Amino acid sequence: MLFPVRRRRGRVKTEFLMPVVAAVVVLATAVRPLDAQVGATVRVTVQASGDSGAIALPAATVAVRDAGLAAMTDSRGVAVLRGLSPGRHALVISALGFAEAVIEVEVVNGRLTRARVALDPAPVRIAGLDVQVPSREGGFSATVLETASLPPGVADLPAALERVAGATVVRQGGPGAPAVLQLRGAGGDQVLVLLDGTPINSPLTGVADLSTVDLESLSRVVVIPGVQSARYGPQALGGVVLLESSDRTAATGAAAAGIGAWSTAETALTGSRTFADTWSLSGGARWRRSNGAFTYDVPDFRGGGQTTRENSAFSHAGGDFRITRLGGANPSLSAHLSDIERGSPGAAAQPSLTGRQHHRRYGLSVGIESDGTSPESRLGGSARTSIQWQRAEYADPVPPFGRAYDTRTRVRRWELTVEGWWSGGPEPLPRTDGPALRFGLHAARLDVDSNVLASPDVSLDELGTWARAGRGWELGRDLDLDLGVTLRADRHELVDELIASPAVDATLTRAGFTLDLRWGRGFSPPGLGDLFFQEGVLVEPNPDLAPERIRGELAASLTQRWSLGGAKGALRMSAYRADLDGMILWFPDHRFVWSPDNYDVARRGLEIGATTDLAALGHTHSVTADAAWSEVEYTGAVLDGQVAYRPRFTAEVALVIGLPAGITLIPSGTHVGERRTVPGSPLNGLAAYTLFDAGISVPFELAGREGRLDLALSNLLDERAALLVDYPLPGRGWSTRIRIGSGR
Amino acid sequence: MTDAVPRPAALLALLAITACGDEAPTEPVGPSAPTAVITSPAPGLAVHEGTAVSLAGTAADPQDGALGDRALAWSSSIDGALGTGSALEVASPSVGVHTITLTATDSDGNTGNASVSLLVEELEFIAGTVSDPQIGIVVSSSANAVRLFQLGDPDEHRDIALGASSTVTPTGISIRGETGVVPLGNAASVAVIDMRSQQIDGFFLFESGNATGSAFVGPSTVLAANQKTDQVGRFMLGQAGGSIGDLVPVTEFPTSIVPFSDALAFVISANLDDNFAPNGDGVVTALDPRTMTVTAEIETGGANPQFGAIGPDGMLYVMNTGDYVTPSTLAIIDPSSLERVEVVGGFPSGSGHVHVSEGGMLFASAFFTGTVAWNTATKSFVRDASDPICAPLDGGGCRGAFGAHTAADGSLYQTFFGSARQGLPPRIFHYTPETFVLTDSIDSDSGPVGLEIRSFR
Repeated sequence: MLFPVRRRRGRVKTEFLMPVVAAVVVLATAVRPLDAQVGATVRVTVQASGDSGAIALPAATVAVRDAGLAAMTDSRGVAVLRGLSPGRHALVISALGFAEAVIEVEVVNGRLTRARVALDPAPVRIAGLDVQVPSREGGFSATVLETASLPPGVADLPAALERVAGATVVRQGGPGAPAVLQLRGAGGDQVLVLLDGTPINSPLTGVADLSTVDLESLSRVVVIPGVQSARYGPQALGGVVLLESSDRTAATGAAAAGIGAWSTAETALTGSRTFADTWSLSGGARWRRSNGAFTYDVPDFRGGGQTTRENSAFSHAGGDFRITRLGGANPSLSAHLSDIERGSPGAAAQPSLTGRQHHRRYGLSVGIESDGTSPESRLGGSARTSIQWQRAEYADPVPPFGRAYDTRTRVRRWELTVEGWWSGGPEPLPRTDGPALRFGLHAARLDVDSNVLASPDVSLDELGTWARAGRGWELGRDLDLDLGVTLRADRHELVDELIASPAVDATLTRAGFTLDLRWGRGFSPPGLGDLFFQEGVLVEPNPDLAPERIRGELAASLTQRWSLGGAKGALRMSAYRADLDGMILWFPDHRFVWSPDNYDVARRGLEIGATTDLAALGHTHSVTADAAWSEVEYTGAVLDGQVAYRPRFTAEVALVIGLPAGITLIPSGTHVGERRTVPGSPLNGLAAYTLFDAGISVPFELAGREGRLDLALSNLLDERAALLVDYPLPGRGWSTRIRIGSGR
Repeated sequence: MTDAVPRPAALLALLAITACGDEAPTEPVGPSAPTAVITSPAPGLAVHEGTAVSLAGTAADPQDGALGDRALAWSSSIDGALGTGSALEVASPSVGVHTITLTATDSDGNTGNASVSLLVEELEFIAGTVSDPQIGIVVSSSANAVRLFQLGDPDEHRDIALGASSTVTPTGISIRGETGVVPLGNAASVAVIDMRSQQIDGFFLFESGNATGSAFVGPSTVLAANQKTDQVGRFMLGQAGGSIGDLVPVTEFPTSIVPFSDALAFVISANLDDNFAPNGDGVVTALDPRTMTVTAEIETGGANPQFGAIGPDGMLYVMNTGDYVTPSTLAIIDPSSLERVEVVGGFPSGSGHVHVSEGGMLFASAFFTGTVAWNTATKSFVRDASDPICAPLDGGGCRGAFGAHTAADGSLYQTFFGSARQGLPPRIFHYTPETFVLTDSIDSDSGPVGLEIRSFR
């Protein structure tokens, strides 16, 4: 029989939740509040300087040297110091992964004094995984990765993202292999990945191949889990990943080079400079390659034993450039280019020696941004237009099975994004003691030319407009409440109706305790591959195919920051229920005619994590541990059980051990639970696996320039693992990398 | 009839039992009591559940001499009184260790006893149920598994996982004795399964390609087709190494192999090009498996043949599936002359799998229709496309069928792939003999396709 190629694209027990909630509440009340004094008060807002504006920096320490007082910032980056004597005080602001800053403030008895400070990332100070700074982005809990501070061994974007709680990176192999992000049990086509605001998800399949993004070109990666359509529009069902390119105004320059297992080699140059305080130029160029030929276990049905993963070499080159005129509307022009060529080794059971892939992405962007600031209010706006071209070519003249193929897809995407904001208070948006409003318009046109589609040329228009209103209240001493409402309306050419995506969020903060609640809706239109595929025998379109929808995601997260003696840290827990209506899958009808159709999925989960920093033996150490449980189950009459390739349980743990001379040792482990491989069937499941890595970072100074040497071992125990069947991960590997200069 | 169970474990158990309790014959109770002797079953006999056990014995009394049937009473420690007489057959003793006792009673009321132990073992799964030894064997193409179920108790089943790889795409199984052979499709290999233990014994491999049809052409000789390389190869179950060798080129797209004898097998080639379009009529290649030589190539008179079967009349019936739009046709090939003798039209479009019952009824299954029945003797439809054998849909229409197979009683089992789109789970449907009325619906793994029915008892 001929089988057309078919596309295969949670429930937490409440009795389990209750003890955890109780434990967190007990901790919240038992741990000593960080700031509980009386007298003159200083409210300090600490931010991390970023390429697209400053963001709140929680867990930063604000200390008053002469008074012996200290406080830690909350999730809004706010620390409050009370009981200060009137006069000038020097505040020392420090946070792991950032350069220490000192500011002076004048405080008056009986009055609140406000101060704001932005910390610059300090790439030389390796802090391992604690650079994952929990933050809020547009009113949502987010995890921020400062790429300059990633631990040794994190050589690419997939490796960085797989350390985020609740994230699973589905790699198809070793270095340079395609990799897709799952968030909270949502599939790769349900996670929107934006590179400087432009989606890189394939319009055909909906997934974003993370391997096509050069980590070296990024300064920051922000992961916002949960439905985000109210802010980011279609496809943001499981979450959003914001990839932000480097954008510096300070004079920097850095060179890096590295080698590693599987004949991996890389080099990168980055730099920025400001001329006459008027023009800022920044840019970089990178190149990375590997022959990718690692050893793996051959399945018994192909004879067993071991062999080499041939035809998995890759070469990735990229560059970016940005020029900004400082002042006024800050007009900027940026360009980027990425080119990756790699083998397509196919299934390990019957590998291909002739499959090839070639991805190119390049684009131009022009933008302006103005942030008019006054002591009591802020009004600002930005506009950006960009055009991005993507070209993907897949070919195999002699595949081991199936027909020879040579597919070419070209995508041209033009976008216009306009945003405005207003704040009635002095705090940064969207968090404020007063009202705040943020609003935007997003228009895009997509032209697709693909010989995979029945209609090779497809053009799509998207239009979305959104607004967010927020307000904060000080309900009492140490007790703050913030509320936000976001609404977005989208007109998408692949959806018949105007779709509204609302969201409501609330944050309650007391001392080091934060409770976030959020409700939201979202949608994702069918991909072009589900709508415009080439019909054939036993395959036909489905005119009734509907968008995937989340009609009401409910999420809650608790964070408790604490300090005890010389140790400090945070406990965090998130729980969510995000049933997905109409997940698009391919199955046959009663005549064995295959079509895409919508299937309902129940999705819910729990994430628990903790970070502890402590000083011992004269050095700072930390441990970070996260565990995530996600149930993603079919609810239909036929299919049941966990959705294929969604691990119910994942966990990560990492230690950062400070050693003399600034050396940092970072052992870590990642666990991925068992996965089903067939929708609706427990047979032929994949076993769980645990991988252990270790890295060491050695800072040095050479000719007055700072540098660091990274050494890393991956998969220490040489575990034979694969998240996807047929696509083994490499065994034990190593890498070494040297970097000189500042900035990434 | 007794069916002894020469199993080491059972024998060990019985050795212990007989050492403790068997007395044959027993001593009479008193000087004038009769003496009983059991001649059957032999002490320590072990039989399977459902096996009839013959009881035989005699008794002599000092006063009465040989005692008649009415004086001999049999009993079981588990089943109680069994009956009287010097010979008795117990149809289905209960599972367990029985003490079978023969009690002889003389005219004075004196009694004498003799006892033996009898072990009745529960049937293994593969032996079926007491009333029905047949096992249904279903290849599940989505779950990558083979499911075995007892026809006598369809809820009792075993699954054999074949591998998670997406290259594992099984569609059929060949069985000889207690060995099953499953071509694994794009995995380019063949799994050999011990049906009794439901374990995979090993694999035989093509160098690459797509392993499709297979057939036993001897107790341990297997042919396998490679749809990608357009070859048929051979392997022996006990051979050194796991390669499928002795490759013979055949017409493009061989999909199945029909064994006729150990000296003749038919390879059915769909004759499709790389775009799955017909090159012309399908071809049946006659092959001598002993020498791996092609003896004839026979055009099927229609496009895209995929399955065939030998009828009780000795003819080869090959279904020309065609283009899934126009009606399919049936080619009849004479194995003795190696010529096509007839092409019969009127089969529903998309007909694929064919099975011919011992009674000569040909069942052709189609995705769009269900199963039609065609009498090979009268060459006429018993159930045609206007009235197919099918599980109805709510609101009218039929579920499609991938395959069908008859049981010993003539009833029909049919695989339905399932449709998650329509909320229709995969099923094996059961129809009554002759009238083909739907009587049962049996759970299945995902995507059931190939179906066989065998008895392993």
